[in-house]
Amino acid sequence: MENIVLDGTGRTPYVSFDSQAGKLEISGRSIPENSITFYKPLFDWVDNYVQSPKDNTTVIFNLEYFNTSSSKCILDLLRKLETLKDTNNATEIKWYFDEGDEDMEESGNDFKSLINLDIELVMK
Amino acid sequence: MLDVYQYFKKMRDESIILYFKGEITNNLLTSILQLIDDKLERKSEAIKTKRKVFSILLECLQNVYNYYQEKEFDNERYHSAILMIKKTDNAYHIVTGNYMANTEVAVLQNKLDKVNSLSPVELKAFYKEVLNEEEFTGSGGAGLGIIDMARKSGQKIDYSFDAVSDHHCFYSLQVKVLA
Repeated sequence: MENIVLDGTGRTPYVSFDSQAGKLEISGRSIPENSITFYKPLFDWVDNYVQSPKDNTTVIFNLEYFNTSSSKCILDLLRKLETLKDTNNATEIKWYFDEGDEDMEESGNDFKSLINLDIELVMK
Repeated sequence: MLDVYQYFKKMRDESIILYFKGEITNNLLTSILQLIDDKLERKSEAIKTKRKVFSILLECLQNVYNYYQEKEFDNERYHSAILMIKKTDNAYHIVTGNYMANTEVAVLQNKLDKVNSLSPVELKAFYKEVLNEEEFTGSGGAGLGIIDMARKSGQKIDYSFDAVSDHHCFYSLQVKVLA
């Protein structure tokens, strides 16, 4: 399957979904006007990926800002990744936050408590 | 001649960081966010304060923008909104104001009163509940935005609805971030 690489903009994050490496990364700002339009191709990619995943999958969220409309998309993305647990594929999810950015740390904890996958909170 | 200096002094004395009145378009929204990002970058505030101000401003602006996208009021006059950011001794104040149909006031007021009645712990639980269950509309749904603002602010949200006509009012919102 084709990888996704998107450059970050002032409103949308850098995205790198690499199926060969089993590495998914979303970094920067996710504050688009309509987040579902932005995230739809990412959802489709993950739906495909979980059909034949790598033994080990690494997922990185390294966000500076995300709006509430993106938060729903991030949760949906994580829900799709829960499938990997059902199929016993190792998944490592890292949620980065800047030192002192307590809201971003809190958000990582929110997602952690809502999904059935472990999320490691990493202070930068 | 307009007394420009008077305007300048008034804005300076009230520590107004940003003041805008007019129609909020998507391009303008991007520009305003960039502008405030630059301004905050130069301030010696804690990172959490800067991030809170930016995040709350973002939700406020997207709420106003989305509202007007959905409504398309006949009267152009009603497309205009106000945005202000000011800094007092101990806090940043993010203020927005926009026209709204009277029929929508009750639902919004209920949401605002509800978040204002909740403790930080209850707000966190309510946020997660809405995030988990809310049907997705694409533009986020005003409910989650208000809860998020209240959480990040940690203060009560001030609001008012001023009567404008039989069908419209002016909705003002003021969110505080302690510095």
